[in-house]
Amino acid sequence: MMKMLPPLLYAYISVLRKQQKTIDYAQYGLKSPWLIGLIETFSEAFNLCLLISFFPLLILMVLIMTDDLGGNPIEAFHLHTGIWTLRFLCITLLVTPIQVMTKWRGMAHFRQLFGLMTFFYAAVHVYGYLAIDQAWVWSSIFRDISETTYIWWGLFCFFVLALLALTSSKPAKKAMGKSWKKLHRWIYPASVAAVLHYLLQLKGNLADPLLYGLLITFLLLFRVLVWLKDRKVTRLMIPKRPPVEEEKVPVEETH
Amino acid sequence: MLIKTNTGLRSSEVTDEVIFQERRDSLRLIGGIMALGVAGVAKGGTVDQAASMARQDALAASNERLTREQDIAHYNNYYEFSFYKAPPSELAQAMQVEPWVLEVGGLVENPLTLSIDDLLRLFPPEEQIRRIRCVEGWSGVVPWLGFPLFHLLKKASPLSFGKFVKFTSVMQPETMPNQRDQKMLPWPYVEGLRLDEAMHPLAMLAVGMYGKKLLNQNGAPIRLVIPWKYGFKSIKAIVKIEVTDSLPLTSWNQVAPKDYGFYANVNPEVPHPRWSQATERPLGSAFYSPRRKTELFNGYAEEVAHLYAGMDLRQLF
Repeated sequence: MMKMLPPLLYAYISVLRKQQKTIDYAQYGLKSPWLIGLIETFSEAFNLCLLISFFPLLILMVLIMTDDLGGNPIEAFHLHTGIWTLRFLCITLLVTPIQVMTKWRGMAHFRQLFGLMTFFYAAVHVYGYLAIDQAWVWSSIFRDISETTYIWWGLFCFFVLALLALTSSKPAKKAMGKSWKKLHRWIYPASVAAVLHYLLQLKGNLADPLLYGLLITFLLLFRVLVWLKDRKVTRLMIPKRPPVEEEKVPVEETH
Repeated sequence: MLIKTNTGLRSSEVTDEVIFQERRDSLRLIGGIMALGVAGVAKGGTVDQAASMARQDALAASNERLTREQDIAHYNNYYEFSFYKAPPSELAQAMQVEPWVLEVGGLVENPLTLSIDDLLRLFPPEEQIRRIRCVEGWSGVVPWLGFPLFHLLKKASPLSFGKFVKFTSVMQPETMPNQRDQKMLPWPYVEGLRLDEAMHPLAMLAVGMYGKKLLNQNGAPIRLVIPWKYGFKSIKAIVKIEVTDSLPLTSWNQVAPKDYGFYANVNPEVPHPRWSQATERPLGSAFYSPRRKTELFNGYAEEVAHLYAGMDLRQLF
């Protein structure tokens, strides 16, 4: 299964799985404990991912400060935050397939990290709409939402992401038991809604949303395939028995 | 001047440095247009000053700010070149706009074939500040240089059974990537008006903006400006104007008739099937500034509403 993965992905996963080794920093002439601490922190894949996840926000900040968002900066803000929400959503949905294909366990905290980053960018996106664009004019906001159907899909996606973010912690997972998995499966319809939200606002240029639509389709198809396979295996494991005739229970007549 | 006269704008707000600079530019602009061959307006500084004073007055009397030229020049819907807003400003530089021939024909007594120089000689352009509102929900205030369309139509003299005017944009697949690849719309781009709409004094043919020749990405060398309709009606790079007796099949209407009607009058009460048209985002506006309330006929109701008397604007959108 591993050999099916592109070499770069393989290398990256190998790094993720590697045990931390103690490195003799003095050998490289490094003495500052602060610098060593920094290297130690970000040589851990999780921390590095956390750091990199904020780059799109940083880029946006720079574009805002240098007035480089073009003729319609508010629209550019919406696009930037919206697209990065979709990208993080795809990355989040990619964690489980990687886990299944490599048969490695213990990547749940990466899935949680990227899931929370998805919610983070979605929240910035929603803030951009309410504050930066609509300037909190509620009458305008209500009318706009009531007449703008593509916002409904976005709102649905945002509420699902918010619920999942709220219940993403380990204690919440424990407390919710079986219903946690059920709830977090709502990410599938939410990801379809996110693509629709992107697709339906455009006049004709559909290439970009269709690309994300294709990506999400593959990611969801993977789950369907796994589900089908599991079902087959389960059926094979259960020994076939002749159907047991149900005992007839006399029904008491009630008057 | 016909920008709306809703007051609420202090004159200090419009007489800022930028506008003042644009006034200076507008002096130069008229010089530029004269260099194009307009002998008729050559009355020296007085005409130039009159034009810039007129702009000043028009802005002072309204609560409008002129959209920055750089925004109008780098945020373009020009689907022949690209489906994104920024690329046309570069891609359109490859376009061939000289020489250019504009044909006026169809149901007219005097079919015309005119070069841009002919047009400028016959119809000296004047500066008109007009609001533009895109169906996508953004807007601008642009100082166009142009002349009323009816001047040209009168010269061609439409026949009595002419009812509509059809406009055809240039076909230049060698410079226009999406024409070459036959993407999205049937090319060339076609727009249309009812004849009485086309004869309205607000219907303009523009050859310049911000005191200069039109930039390629903004529709050079000649484009339509119909300020009370959504921007896609204001067809760019026109090569043919025909008077017809039947409703012209226009590009967007042909591709998505439920989304884009033939009339496409700006109307906050008639939402697009997928989004609201109640408000708009002026180009270049700062973060946290409220959206602008869209006006019926983009603020030109007083001038054009009579064209649609008795018409159900929800049905004929």
